[in-house]
Amino acid sequence: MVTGPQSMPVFSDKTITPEEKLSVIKWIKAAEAEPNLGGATMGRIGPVSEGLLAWVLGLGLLIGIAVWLTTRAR
Amino acid sequence: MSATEKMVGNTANFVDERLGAAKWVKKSLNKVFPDHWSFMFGEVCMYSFIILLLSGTFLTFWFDPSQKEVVYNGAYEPLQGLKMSAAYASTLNISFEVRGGLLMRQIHHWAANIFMAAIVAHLLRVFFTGAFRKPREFNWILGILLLTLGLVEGLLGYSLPDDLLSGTGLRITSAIIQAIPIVGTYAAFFLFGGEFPGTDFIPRIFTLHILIIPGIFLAVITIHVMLVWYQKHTQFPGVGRTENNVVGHPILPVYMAKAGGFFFVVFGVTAFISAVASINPIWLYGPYTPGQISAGSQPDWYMGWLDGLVRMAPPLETHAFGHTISWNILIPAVIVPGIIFTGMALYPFIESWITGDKREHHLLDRPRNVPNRTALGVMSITFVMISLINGGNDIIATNFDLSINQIMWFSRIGIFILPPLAFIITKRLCLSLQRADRELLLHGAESGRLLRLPHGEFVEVHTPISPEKAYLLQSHEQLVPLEIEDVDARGVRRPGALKNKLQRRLSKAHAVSVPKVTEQELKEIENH
Amino acid sequence: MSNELTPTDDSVVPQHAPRATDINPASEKRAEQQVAILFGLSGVGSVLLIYSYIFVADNVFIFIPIMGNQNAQQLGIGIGMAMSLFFIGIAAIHWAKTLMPDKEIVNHRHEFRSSDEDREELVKTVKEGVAGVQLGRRKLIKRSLGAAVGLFALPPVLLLRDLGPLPGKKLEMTNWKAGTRLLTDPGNRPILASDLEVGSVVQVLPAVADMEHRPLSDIAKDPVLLIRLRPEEFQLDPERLAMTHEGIIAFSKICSHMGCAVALYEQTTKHLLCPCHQSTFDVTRAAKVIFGPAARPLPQLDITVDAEGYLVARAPFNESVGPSYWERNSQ
Repeated sequence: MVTGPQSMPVFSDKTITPEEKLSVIKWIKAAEAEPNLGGATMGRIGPVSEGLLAWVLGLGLLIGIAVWLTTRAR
Repeated sequence: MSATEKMVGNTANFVDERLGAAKWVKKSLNKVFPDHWSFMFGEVCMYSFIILLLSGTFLTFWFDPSQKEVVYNGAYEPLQGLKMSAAYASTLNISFEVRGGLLMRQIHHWAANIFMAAIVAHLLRVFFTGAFRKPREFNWILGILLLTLGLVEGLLGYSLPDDLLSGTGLRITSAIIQAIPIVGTYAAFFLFGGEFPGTDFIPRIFTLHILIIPGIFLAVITIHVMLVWYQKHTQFPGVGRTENNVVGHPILPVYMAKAGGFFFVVFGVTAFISAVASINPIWLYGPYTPGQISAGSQPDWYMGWLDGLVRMAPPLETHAFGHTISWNILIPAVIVPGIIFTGMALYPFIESWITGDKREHHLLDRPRNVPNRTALGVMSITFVMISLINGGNDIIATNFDLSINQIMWFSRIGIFILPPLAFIITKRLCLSLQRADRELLLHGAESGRLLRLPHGEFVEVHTPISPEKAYLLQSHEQLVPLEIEDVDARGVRRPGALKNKLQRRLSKAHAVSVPKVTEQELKEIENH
Repeated sequence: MSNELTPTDDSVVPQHAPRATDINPASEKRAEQQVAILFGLSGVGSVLLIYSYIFVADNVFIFIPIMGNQNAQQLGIGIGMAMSLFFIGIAAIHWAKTLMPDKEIVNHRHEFRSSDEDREELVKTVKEGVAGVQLGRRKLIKRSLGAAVGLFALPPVLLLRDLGPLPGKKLEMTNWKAGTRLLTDPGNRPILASDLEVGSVVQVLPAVADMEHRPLSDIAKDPVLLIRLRPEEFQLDPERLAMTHEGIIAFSKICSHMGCAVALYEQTTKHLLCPCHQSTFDVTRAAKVIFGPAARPLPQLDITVDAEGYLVARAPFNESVGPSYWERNSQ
C-alpha cells in the first residue's frame, strides 16, 4: 500500500495512516482465514458462480429425479 | 365398514350436504395428467414458490425492514462496533444468532434462483413443443407475466439486506429509472423518497416484496394452474393419444403420490444445496454505502443478462437543447428488454398469423418437426447466453486470465452475428433429424451387423422399429405454407398487399421441412 | 410396419407389460421394504435436525473433505432438513412406481366452443341487460357519470404525491463549494499538497457541519478522488490544467454512467476503472472515456490550496455528478 507496485497506486501514510492500513490488512487476513460460514462458496465469486450452481446442480438434480419419476418400473 | 371408512364417510356426508361436492370431487380424482419428465418444470416452479412463501415468512419474523442507523454488537466479530442499517443488522442476526436462520436465508435465496431457472426451463419446454398454441395463448401470456414478476421480486428480495452488493444494484436500478426521458427524475424521486439512496427504500421494497407482488403471484399462479386443469394438459403424440383425449395415470392415487412426492423432493434438494453451498454471504460484503464498491459486482443470474447488455452498450448519449437522453442506458435496459418481452408475450399470435393455423392443438410438436420455431428458440437462447457471459466478463477475465476488452468486443460483435448463425445451424439440424426419422421409418434402424450376400455384396442389416415408434414418426402434420391470393375471383386486389407479402414469405420459411413418408412409400417398402 | 396403429377408438390405450412387482411376490415384498427404508431415512434426517438444533453449539466447526471447515450446527440442521424432506418424496414416488396400479386411463376432451344456442342466449341476456341501462337515452346521467368517474380517478394518484419531493435542482448540487476543504475518507482529516506522493490516490469528502452523520444521499454525490501525477504527464487544455494543483487532479468518484463508485485506479496506465460495467476513464485527459458504456467524462473538481496549505475546492462542480437524466444540460 505504501509503495504502490506496478498498477497499484500509492496510499501515502498521511492520507491513510499506518494504523488504518493495519486495520485493512487485519480485516483481509481475518476474512481469508474465516471458514465459509454458510457452506462451500466456489471461490467466493458471488452471483455468477451461484447462478451456475443453481442451474447445474439444482436443475440438474431435479431433472434427473423427474426422469426417474416418469420412467416405468420394470 | 371399518372405523376409518365410517369416519371418512361421515365427513364426506357433512361436506356434501353443504356443498354438493361429490360429483366434482369424483370427476377430479379421476382426472388424468400425462407423464413426461419435461412436464415437471412447471411443478418445480410451483413448489419453489411454496418454499419461498414458507422460508420467506420465517425470515419476516426476525428481519427489521428499517434503515435506522444502529451500531452492531452481535455475534459476528469483524463487524462489531460498525454503524449500519437495522435491516443489515437484523440480517446478520438471522445469519448468526437465530438457529437455522442462515439455513433459511440460503433456502430462500437458492429457492429463488431455482424458481427462476425452472421458469425459464418451463418456458422453453412450452415453446419448443408448441404448447402455447390455441387454446392456451392466454396462459402463455400469464406465464410471461410471471417471468417478469419473478425478475422484479428477486431483485427486490436480494436488495432487502441492504448490503454493498445489492445496494450497488439499486444504484443501477435508480439510474435506469432516472434515464427515462421527461418523467425519469420524478419517478426516481417518488420511488426513493428523494435523492438516491434516501432512507425510505428498504421499507418500501419490503412492502412490495412480501405483500403486493406475492399477492399478484398467488392470483396469477392460481389462474395459470386452473387453466391447465380446465383445458387439460397437452401430451406428446403416441399410440392411443389423439387431439381429443388425454392419456395417463389418474390423480388418485398415482399422480397424487408422484406429484406430492416431487414437492418433498424439490424442497429436499433445495434444502440440501442450502446446507452445503453458501449464497449471498452479506457479512463479507459489508453494509451499503454509495461511496464504496467491490470488484466483481453482479446481480443474480436472471438479471445478469441485462447487466451484460448494459456493459456492451456503445457510449451513446444525445445532448441537445439543454437535455440529455442516455441511449447507452435506455437501449439495453429498457428498449431491448421491452421488445423481447412483448415479442415473447405475443408469439402465439405471431405464429398463428404466419401459419394461418386457427385450430386447437392438444398434441405437442416434436421440436425437429417445426424447424423454424425451434431455430428461433435456439437463436433467442444464444442471445441471452452471450449477454449472460458478458455480464460476468470481469469474473471470466480474472479467472481465465483473459482480457476484458476482448471479451467485450467478442460480445458486441457476437450478439449480432452468433444468434443468426445459431438459427441457421439449428434449422439445418432439425431438417437432418427429420431426414433421419424418415430413414428410420422406411428402412429401420441400422444394427451395425454386416451381412455378406452369396454374390459377395456386403449389406448392413436394419432392424425394424417398433410399431409404437413407427406411429410416433408419422404422427406429425406436414407443414404447408399459407396460400394467399393477391386478387380474388373477380380480379379485385386484396387490401394490405405488403402485409400479405410478408405473411406469405414468413409462412413459406416456416413451412420448410422434409416431406412426410407417404402411404405409398410405406407400401413399396413392405413389398421390398 | 403398417399404418394399422391409427386407432379409430380413442378410448383404447395399449396397456403395458406387467412390472416385476405385479407378478412376483418376492419383488413386491422387496419394493415394500425399500419404501419403508426410505421413510426411515427421512426419520433419520428429522432426528439429525432436532439433535443439531438443540445439542450442537453454534461455534463448532467440523472438517468436510473438499468443502473445508464447516459450521456443524448449520450443516446438521441443513442436512437433517434435506434428508427428512427428500426421502419422504423419494419413498412416495418409489411406492407409486412399483406398487400402485400401473393402469393408464383416458379422459376425453370436449370442444370448448359453447353451443350456438348458449351463445345466442348469452347475447340476448347481455343485450337486454344493457338495454336496461339505457345510457343512450339518459344523456344527463351519462354526462354526470362521466364527470364523476373522471374526477374519481384523480385522488388515488394524488394521494401518492407525498411519496417523494420534486427533483428541482437537487441533482445539480453537491456539498462542494468555493473554499470547502478536502477531507480524507475515512478519518475526515484535512490534506496538505505535500501529503500526496506522485502515483498516490485518495478518496475525499467535503468538510460539512456534521461530519459524523453524513446523509447517505450526500455520500451518493460527494466522494471525490484525488490523484497525483507529474505535471508533465497531463494532456489537458489550459482551462482544465488550471483546475489542478501541482500535479494533483480531482474527479468525482461517482461514475457518469450509472452512479457506481469508480474505485479502481491503475497507476501504470493512469486509468480509472468502474467495476460495474467496466467504463474506463483516462486521468491524463480529464477523465475522458476510453472504453465501456459511459458517455461522459467524470466531472472534474477545481482545486487549490488555502492560506494554511490545505487542499480546498475553488468552486463547485460545473456540472451534475452521477448518471445522466433528461433535464441535465450536458453540453
